[in-house]
Amino acid sequence: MRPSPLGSYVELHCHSNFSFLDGASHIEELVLRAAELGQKALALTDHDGLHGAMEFAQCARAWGVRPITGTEVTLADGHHLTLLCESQRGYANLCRLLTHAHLDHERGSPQVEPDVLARHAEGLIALSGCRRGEVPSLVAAGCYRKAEEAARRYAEWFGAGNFFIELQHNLVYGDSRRNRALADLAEQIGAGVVATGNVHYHAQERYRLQDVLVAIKNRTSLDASHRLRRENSEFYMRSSAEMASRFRDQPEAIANTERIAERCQFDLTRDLDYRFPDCPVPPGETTQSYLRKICQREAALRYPRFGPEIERRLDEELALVERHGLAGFFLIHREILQLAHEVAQEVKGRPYHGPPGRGRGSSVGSIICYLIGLSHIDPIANNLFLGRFLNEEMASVPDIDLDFARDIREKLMLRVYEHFGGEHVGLVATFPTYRIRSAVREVGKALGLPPAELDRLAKASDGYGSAKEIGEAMSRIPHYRDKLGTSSWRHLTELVQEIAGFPRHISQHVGGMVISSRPLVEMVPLEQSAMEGRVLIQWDKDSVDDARMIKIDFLALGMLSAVDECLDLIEEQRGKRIDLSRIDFDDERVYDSICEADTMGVFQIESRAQMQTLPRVRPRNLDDLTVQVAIIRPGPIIGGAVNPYINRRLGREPVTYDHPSLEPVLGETLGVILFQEQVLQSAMALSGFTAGQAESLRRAMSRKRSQSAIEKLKDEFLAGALANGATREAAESVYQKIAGFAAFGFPKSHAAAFGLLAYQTACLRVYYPAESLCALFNAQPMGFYGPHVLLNDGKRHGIEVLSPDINRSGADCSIEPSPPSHPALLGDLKVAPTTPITMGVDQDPYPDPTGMMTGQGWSPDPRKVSRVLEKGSAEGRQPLRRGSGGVPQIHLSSPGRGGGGVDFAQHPVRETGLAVRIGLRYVRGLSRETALPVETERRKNGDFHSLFDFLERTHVKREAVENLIACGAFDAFGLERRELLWQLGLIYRSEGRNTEQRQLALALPSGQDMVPLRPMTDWDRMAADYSTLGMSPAYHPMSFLRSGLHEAIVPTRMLGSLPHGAPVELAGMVVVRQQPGSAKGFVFLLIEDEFGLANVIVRPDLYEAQRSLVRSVPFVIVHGTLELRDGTTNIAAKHFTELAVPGGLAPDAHNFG
Amino acid sequence: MVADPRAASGAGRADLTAVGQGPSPGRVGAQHAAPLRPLNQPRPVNVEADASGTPLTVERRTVDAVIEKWRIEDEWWRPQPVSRIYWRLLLEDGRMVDVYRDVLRGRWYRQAYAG
Repeated sequence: MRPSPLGSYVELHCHSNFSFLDGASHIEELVLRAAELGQKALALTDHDGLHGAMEFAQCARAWGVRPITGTEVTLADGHHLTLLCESQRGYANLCRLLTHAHLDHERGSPQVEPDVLARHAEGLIALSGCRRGEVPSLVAAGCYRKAEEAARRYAEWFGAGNFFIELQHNLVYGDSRRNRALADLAEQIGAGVVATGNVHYHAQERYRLQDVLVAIKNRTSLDASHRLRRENSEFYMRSSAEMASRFRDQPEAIANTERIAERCQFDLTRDLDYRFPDCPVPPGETTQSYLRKICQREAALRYPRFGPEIERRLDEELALVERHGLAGFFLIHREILQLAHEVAQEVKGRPYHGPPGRGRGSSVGSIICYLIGLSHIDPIANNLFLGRFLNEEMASVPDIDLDFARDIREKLMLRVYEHFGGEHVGLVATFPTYRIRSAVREVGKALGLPPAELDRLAKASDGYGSAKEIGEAMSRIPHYRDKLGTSSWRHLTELVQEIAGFPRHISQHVGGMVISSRPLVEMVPLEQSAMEGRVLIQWDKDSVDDARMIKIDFLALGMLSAVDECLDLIEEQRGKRIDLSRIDFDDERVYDSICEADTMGVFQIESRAQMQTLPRVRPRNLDDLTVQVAIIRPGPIIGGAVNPYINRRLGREPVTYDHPSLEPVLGETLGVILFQEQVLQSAMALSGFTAGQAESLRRAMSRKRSQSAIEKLKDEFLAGALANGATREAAESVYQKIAGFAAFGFPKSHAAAFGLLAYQTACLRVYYPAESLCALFNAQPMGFYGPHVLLNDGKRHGIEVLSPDINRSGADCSIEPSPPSHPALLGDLKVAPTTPITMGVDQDPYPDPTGMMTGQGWSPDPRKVSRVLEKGSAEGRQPLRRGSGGVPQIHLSSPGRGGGGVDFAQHPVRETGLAVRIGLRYVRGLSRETALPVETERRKNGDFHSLFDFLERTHVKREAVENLIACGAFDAFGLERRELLWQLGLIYRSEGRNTEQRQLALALPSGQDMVPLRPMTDWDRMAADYSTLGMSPAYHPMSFLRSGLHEAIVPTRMLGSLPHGAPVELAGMVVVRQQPGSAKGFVFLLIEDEFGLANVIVRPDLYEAQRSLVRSVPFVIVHGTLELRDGTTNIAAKHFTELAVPGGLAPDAHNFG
Repeated sequence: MVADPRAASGAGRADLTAVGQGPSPGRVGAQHAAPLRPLNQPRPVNVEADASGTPLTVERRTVDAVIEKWRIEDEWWRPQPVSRIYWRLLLEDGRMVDVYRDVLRGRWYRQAYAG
């Protein structure tokens, strides 16, 4: 018998890696292979879900293969069944079936009950399934009667012409015999037969990975999974000729594949009937007219001079909104913001002024968004373009992200759920994928490689790096370089690269919600999230985007909580609420502090990398800040834009363009790509792409998947560029920049929103430092630095930070007037610590005799410096100017100008005199829940008079009371902490075991019970602070250790006065360790001493050599060379030694990457 | 689908006993292999095949029919991977034999396969 002509076979049973650890190819690999084989259509039938269905449909369409939506469901008795969607009705049924499978059963074991299957069979075509199908397995077991019964049952459910007997031949022993019996059965009951490949990978060589996945799924090794693995490598995608030859006895089974494919005309890219919910409008209005009315009303309020420019912009946007039918979309957002407002009032327990949330992303460019309260930036005044948000062609709905304070966000998401109804709202999913570390660990375990070796390799690899870089990671490390040649490690490197990017499981996307007017369960299956009670849709944000569903991102932005609280605190202290949208945005003092990288705690521009670039870029207005926020992003960094931009800004290199056509696009950013929309615009300008094509390119690039879709677009891009007269080099160069950028960059409007918030927080920090710090403390954890680093920074800025006090502290940190002995005036920065301590800091041993710490043009001989150090000085304490690495000095000579700002001018900074009191919940052993009753009790019945009184009136556990004593919360009673602890012991002893007893048995211990106790030393107190609070309000460890250090070790504040290239030794506490993925193995440390911070750069080879020391030792001495560049200071490390600290003091460091 | 444990039952797979791989008893699927059956050791056999690899003769006896063809792949992560294509053949003399071709070494063996 001759094989059928090419192209007549269609694969109807195919698994991708969205079958989660069963299926060893990406969707795209399967689609490409099908296209290569000339197949007209392809069905994707992953297990129990449509997680990959939309990606598949889009990808298949793009490659000219018609997508068929399907799944392989697991029935309640464990059997499998292949289902394909013939119509939209069938698709809705499939979604309902899968939702039932997931939501009505234990998480992780989806299954479909027979009666449910029978009720939702309409519009679906069923194939009898793989070897684990009911009919095939009964046939294989020789139970022909039962098999026939089962087959008749399915045929009845689905309808005679809609049930097919599936024949699979994968060269597994028994396949031929089973297929013969199945064919007989089909004939007997009058059902058709259909051949399928049970495809689990696109190419035969992937069978190894499939075996590994089986081992991983069963948490075992390849050796131990003998019976679980497939028999051979024959589960790959076959050509029509191969299939025809394999089923030469059953030509009907091949012909039927095509017939079935012809019937399955449901197309997910086209037939998903999603509609955004309607928004109720007043009678006589349409959504469009109502939106216009609202906008005009608001515009009149916001723009005192409502001019033609504003009107034109509004008309332009409203026209676009009308064209795309988006009026309801905006009104719904307004409705959600109103919900948010209600929630905010409830959370705050009082009328809530100001915006409950703020938009970010491209929506910020829209005047409608500004007018309905979605965005807080006036797009007219800030010259923002609609660009990506709304345009003529619009491939998908606009993207609106909303940032909320954390507490508001949680409640709001629930409220939205209630408001729109559970069937209509779902959380967007995300699929965490294999990265290098997880891949090395799990694949290595399957291969049976030594766990210790794997662990070491995994740890040495960059945690967020792509698993494709495994070879590079191994060759960097000598120990593994030698192993690369051995076969099991070679398997590891190959398989790790193959598994790169495979989805591991489903998880919840941060805050993305989909709202629909039709029940969601008919559009996408729902399943349980790991978090109780939350329901996920089976699609990630890319699929949601492709479905043109409207996703609203409710994001929690810790900084918004902090800003909110800061404004509350300012209001409390000064009785006046600041409107942050009306402050002066040209305040020189704020920009001075930013340019000097004095930005710890400032939104977005506080990180190490930001501090390194701020003094070089020197932002002086909101536009500059917009650039600043955008530039330290993986996109510009990988795209190689950072240094060229800075050099051009500083006039060190000419502004050039790869092609003259790029000048209008990139002129604003000096010829480099900094913003996401420039990717689009560059592609359009250089290669003549339409906006739609450019958007496809951007989307393809920004996604995890679709490498080869990118390749296709690349060819088009290059061809277009060449046709436009660009040289091959120029075209390639632009393409590289675009590709490098695409992953992670901000749109300009988003950067503008963040830049604005950065400015606002910088402003608060300059003018209301105590309130800012307090708010940051209460919003922890957030940001780049731990609380103890923020505390020391605050102290260096003259903010008094006070230990918890049982009669003054609330549960949260709070503001109180500075104690009279500690006038905390900004501009009068003092050396920490602020209370006298016994060791070596009464006299400042490091004076600044020449003002050299300003570091301007003075390059002392390092030996001379050490002579100065030897001599010491009795000149007394000098104001500390921050002269440490990367955190250059602030000069605070300029008085608070306020620059016409509404509020700041009235609050000259020198009147501050406020201190931050640490809240009780910061004490180890206490939480907000246990600390609040203490605060309430004190408010109700007055101060506590003694430890005893405290114990009587509160329920705080003994261990927490000990911690309170240890950190000084009872110091006000006049007793030494050790005496208090002794007292506590006596009280509990007298109480015996009956600790539940409220009425304590014994009154205050009398004098005879007391023993003389050695008072705690300052060091003891500091150690107690760190162990109970994680930070020390009064002391810095280095101030104690300083006297024991070798004299050549310089304090951080001397760094600015040393010349470039000087050898330096510096001792301090490691507060940040960072290993960015883009830094090729370099590690960055931030080291703090009692004067400030220093940046340390660790080369990869040094890191390798001293890895455990660099990674884990809390106090180090770094030996290295000073590097000064454009106002930044770094130490290039050559060697580290451990600085031994008594008592194992180990403050937390933030470790990144 | 998950590999069917029945299809991969020990009986079928135990016969992967080492051949042409040197004596290394208990090496194959060490924890799961059924006891070695020395009587069923693969023995080299003389097979003529056509261009597609289908056997035409076994020890000079003509193949009348191919009853079943199947394939086994295993232990690719070990130094001596297993990759075999088995044929169950009806010979002209009416006898049924199981032979396999060792794909990696290009040699034919005879071994009864207990499926």
